[in-house]
Amino acid sequence: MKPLSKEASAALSALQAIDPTTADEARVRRNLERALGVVVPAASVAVATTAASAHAATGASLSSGMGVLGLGAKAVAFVMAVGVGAAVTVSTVTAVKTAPQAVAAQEIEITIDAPTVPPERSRGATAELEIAPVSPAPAPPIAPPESSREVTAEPEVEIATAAVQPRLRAPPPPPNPRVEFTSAPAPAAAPEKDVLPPPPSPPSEPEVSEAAYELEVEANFPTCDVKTEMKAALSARRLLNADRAEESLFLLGAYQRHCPSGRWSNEAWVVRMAGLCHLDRNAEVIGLLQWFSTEYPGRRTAVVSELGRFCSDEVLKHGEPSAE
Amino acid sequence: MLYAEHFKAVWRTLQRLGVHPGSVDDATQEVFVTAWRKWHDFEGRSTARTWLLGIAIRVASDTRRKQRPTEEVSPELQMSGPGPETMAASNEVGRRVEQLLAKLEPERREVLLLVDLEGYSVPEVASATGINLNTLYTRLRSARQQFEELVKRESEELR
Repeated sequence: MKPLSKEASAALSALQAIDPTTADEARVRRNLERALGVVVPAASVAVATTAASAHAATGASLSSGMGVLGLGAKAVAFVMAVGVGAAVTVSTVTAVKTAPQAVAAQEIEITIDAPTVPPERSRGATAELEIAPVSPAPAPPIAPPESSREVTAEPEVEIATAAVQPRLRAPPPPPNPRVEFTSAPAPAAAPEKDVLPPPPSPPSEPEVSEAAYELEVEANFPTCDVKTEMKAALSARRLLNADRAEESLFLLGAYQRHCPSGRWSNEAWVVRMAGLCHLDRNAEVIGLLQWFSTEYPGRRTAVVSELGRFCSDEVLKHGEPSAE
Repeated sequence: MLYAEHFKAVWRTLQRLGVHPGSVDDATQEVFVTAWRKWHDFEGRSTARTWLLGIAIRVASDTRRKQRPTEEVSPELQMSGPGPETMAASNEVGRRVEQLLAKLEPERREVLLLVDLEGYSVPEVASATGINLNTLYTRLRSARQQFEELVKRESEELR
C-alpha cells in the first residue's frame, strides 16, 4: 500500500504533542492504586533523553507542519528554540524499573526468594525491592479495623511511597489443610505500627479428593515466581468455574501458604470468597469480606460485583465493613 | 508491568481517539482497571499491546459519548503542557490539521491516526477492533488519499 506522502505525514505529525508528563503519570497511577488496592510501578514517561528528543521532535514536526500549512518562519524558529530549551529543563526520572505487583504482573519474570528483604531500600534499585514482603507474621488471625482505617486515611502518602516503604501487607499465615475451620475469624490483638494488619487467617480446607492432593503436588511452589503464581491463579479460577470449588480452595490454600506475599495474593482472597460462597460457607465469606472491605475500600464495589455470581445478596450485605 | 510499559501509549491513543484532555486521566485509569479485571480472560492470542488497544478503543468510544463538546481543560492539565507561546504556535498548526482530519469519516480517521501517527500495524488494529483486515486496509487507503488531497488543497490555498 502506498504510504502517506512526506507532506501529509509532516502535517499529521504536527498535531499537538500529547505525551503525558510525569505529573500526569503520577496522578493516574495514584488513582489506579486506589482503585485496585495494589502498588503500581511508575511508568517511564519523561526520562531526560527521551524528553529531550520528544521536545525536539515536537519542534521539528511543528516546523514541518507549519511549512506545509504555510505558517511564517518566525513562528517556526521560535518553536524550535522552545523545543531545544525545554530539553535542558527536564529532570531525570528514576524508578523506571517495575514491580511485579503491576497490573498484569504475570508478564514479568521476577523471583522472590527472600521474604526478609529490608523494605527501606529505594525504589529504583531492583525490582525485587518494590515487592519486598515483610517477614512472615506469626499468623495473627484478623486485622483490627481501627488500624486499617488509620492507614487508609492517608492513601496518598502510603501509596506514593509504597515502593520505598515496608510491604503494605503482612503475609497471610499459611492455612493448615488438615485442620477443620469451624468459626469466622476472630479479631486480633494490636497490629504493628508500620504495616497494614494481616488479612484473616486463611481457613483450613475441608476434606478433599485425591485429585486435589494431586493439585497440591502440582502446586508445590518451589519458588513463588511469576510463572508458578500465574499457573496457580488460572488453575484456581478454572476449578471454580468448573464447579470444583473445594479443589479450588485447596489450591488457593497451597498458594497462600507457599506464597504469602505473592503478587496474586489479593486476587486470591477474592477467588477464595467466591469458592466459599459456592460451598455455602457463608460465615467465612462474611468475615473475609468484612476484612477485605476494610482493607481495600476502593475495591469493595468491584469485588462485590464479582462475587455476585457466587454469593447471595444477604451474604454480600453482611459482608459490609463494620461501622466503628 | 502492563501499566509501566503501556501507560504512555494508552494515554496518547485515547487522546488520538478523541478523548478530551480533561477526561483522559479517567479514561486511562479505566483502561487499566478493565485490563486488571479481565486479565484472566486474556488468552495471549494477541500481544498485550493489541489487547490494550482494543480496550482503549472501547473506552474512548464510551468516553466520547459521555463527554460534553465544550469541556474545559483543567488548570492542572494546562499547567503540565508546553508554555503558552509554544501552545499557541502548535495550536495553530494542530487546529488546522484537526480541521482537515474532521473532514474524514470517523472510521477512516481512526485507522489513519492509529497507523500513521501512533505506529500500530493494520493487523494490530484489526485484532484490537475485530474489524476485517481487508476492510481496514481499504479504510486506510481511502483515508490517506483523502487526507493527502486535503493537505495539498490547504497548502495551495495558503500560497
